[in-house]
Amino acid sequence: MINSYETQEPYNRRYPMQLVTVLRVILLGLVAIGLSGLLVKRNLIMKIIAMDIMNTGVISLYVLAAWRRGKAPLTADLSTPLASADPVPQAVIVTAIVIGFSILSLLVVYVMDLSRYFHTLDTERIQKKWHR
Amino acid sequence: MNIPVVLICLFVLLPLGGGGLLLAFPQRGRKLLPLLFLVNSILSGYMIFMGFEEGFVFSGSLGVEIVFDSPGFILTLMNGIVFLAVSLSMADRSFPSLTLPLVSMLHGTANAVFISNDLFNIFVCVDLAGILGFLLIRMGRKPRQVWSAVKYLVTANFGMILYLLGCLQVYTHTGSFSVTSLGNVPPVAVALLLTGLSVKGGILAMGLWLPEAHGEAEAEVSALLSGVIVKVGLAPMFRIASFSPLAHGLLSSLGPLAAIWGVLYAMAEKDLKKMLAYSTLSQVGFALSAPALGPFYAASHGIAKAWLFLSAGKMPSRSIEYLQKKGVELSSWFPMILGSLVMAGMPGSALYIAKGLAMSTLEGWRLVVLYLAALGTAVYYSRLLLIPPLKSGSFFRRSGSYDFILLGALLAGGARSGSYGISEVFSSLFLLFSGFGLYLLFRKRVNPILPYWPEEIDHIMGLTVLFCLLIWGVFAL
Repeated sequence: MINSYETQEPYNRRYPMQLVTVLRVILLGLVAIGLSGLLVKRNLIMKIIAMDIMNTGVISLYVLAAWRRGKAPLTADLSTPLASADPVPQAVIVTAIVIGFSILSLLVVYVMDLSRYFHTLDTERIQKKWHR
Repeated sequence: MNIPVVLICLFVLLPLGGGGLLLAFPQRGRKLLPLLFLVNSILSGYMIFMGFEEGFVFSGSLGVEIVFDSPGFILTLMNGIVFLAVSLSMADRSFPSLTLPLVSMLHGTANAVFISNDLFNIFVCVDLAGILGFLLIRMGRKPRQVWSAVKYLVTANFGMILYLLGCLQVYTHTGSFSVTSLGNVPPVAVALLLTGLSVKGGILAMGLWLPEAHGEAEAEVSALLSGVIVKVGLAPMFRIASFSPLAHGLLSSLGPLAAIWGVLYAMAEKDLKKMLAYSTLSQVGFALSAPALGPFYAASHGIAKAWLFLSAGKMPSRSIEYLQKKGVELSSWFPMILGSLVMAGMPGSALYIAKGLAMSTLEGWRLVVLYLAALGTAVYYSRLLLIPPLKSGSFFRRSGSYDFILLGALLAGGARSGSYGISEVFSSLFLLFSGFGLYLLFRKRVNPILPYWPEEIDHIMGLTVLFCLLIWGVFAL
C-alpha cells in the first residue's frame, strides 16, 4: 500500500517549480526585513514587532517546506491515495507558533512595566540611564 | 517495570506537573520539593554507576527521540544537586509565591533538554527554559531586573529563531529532526544551530546578556542561571558536536578563545557577582574546548559556580575592594574560599579532574591559549582569596546544609584515581601559585577598563549575526 504513494505524482509537480523558489525568496526577504528591524530600530516595541515578523517568516518557511510529497492521512478509500502535504513540519511548527506568541505577550507586558520605570522605550536611553 | 518511562516521569513530568500543584498547595510543596531533587540526583548518580544506556523514540516513528546515556546523566545529576542546594537555601527566606513553582518547572525543563536527542524537542525545551529564566530574573520586580530580563529574552529568542531556521535546513535535507542525522547536512544548518544555542550558552559576545542578568537577579536565581540555564544551551551543543565533525572542529577552536575572552573581562570587573558571571563566560569556553568531555566539565562548573553565587548572596557588599578591606564572617568566608580554590583548579576537586582531562586532549595553540586562560582564572580568583575572615560568628551557617552537599559533590567528582600523577598535581599547583603571585605583583599597577558597548542589546544581536555569517564562511571554505 505504501508503494502506491511512492509512485504517486509529487504534489508540488502540479505547480511550476519556480513558484516555490519565488515564494521562498519572498519569505527569506520577510525574515531579512524582520532582522534589519530588530537590529536598527531603537524603540523596544518596534524591536518586538520586528522579531515577530522574523518569526512569522521562519514559520511560513516551514509551511512552504511541507509543500512536497507526503503521506496522506487515513482515508476511507485506500486504493486511490491522495496527494498531500508533508504533515511533520506543520505538526511541529504549531508548537513554535505558540511559543512565539507567548514570548511576544510576555515581552509586551514587561515593556509596559519598563516604560513606567524609565519613561522611555528607547533602548539607547534606557542603557544610558542604566549605566549611570 | 519500564526504566525509561519511570525516568521520564521522575525527571521531566513530575517536576513540570508538580509546578502546577505547588501553586495549589504551596506549604506542603515547600517540604516535598527538595525531596524530589534529592531523588533525582541520587537516581542519576545510580544510573551513571550502573552504566545504564538506552535510546528510544517516544510514541511512533516520527516521535521525539530520547537518549539516556552517561553524558546526559552527568548533567541531570548536576541539575538535581544544584536545585537541591538552591531549594534548601530558599527555605529560610521569603520569596514571591510564584518562585517555587517556576523553580520546579525549570528543573523538569532542563532535564528534558539533557535527555532529548531531537532538534525540535530541544528547541521547545530550551525556549521554555528561557521563558522560565526570564520570569525568575525579574522576580524582585526592580526596574533594573526587568530591563536585564527583557534584554535576556529578546536576545535569547532572537537566537532561537536562527536555531529554528537551522532545524528547517536539517529537516529538508534529511527528512528528520534527529541529532544523529547531522552528519551530512549543509554547513549553513550547523552554523545556524550553533549560533542559536551559543546565545543561550554564553559563548563569546553572544553571551554578554549574562553579566547584567546575573548581577541583578537574586543570588539563588543567579545560581540557577549559571548552574543550569547556561548548561541548557551547552548540552545540545555537545550532542551536535558528537554527530557533526564540522561542529566538533569549530567548538574545539572556539572554546579556548571564549575561555581567554571571559578571563579578560573577569579580571577587569570590580563587582563580585558580575565577576562570577564573566567567569562563567570563560568556563563555558573550557567546557567547549573538548566537546566529548564537555558534560563533565559543565557539570562540575555548574555545581562550583552555584555554590559561589549562593555564598555571594550572603556577603555584606558586592564590591570586591570593600570586602578585601572589611573582611567577611567566618561562615560565609569558608564556602567562598573553598569555591574559589575549586574554580582555580585546586587538586582534589571535580574541576581539577575536568580541566586535566580537557587539556590532555588538546595540542598546539589551543593548549597554549587554554593554559593561559587557566592561569588567568587563578589570577582573578586570587582576589577572593585575599578577603580576610572576621573572627566573630560561628564557623557553620544556621541553615548551611547545602554547603556540605555541594562540597561533597565536588569532592566526589574529584575522587578519580589516575589523574593524581606527580606532574599533574605539580602543574596545577604551579598554576595556582603563579596566578596568586602575579596578582600580588600587578594588582596595584594594572587597572584595566574594558568597553561597555558590546553588552548593549543591539550589539549582542549584531555580533550574533556576524558570528553566524563568519562561521558559515569558515565552514564553506
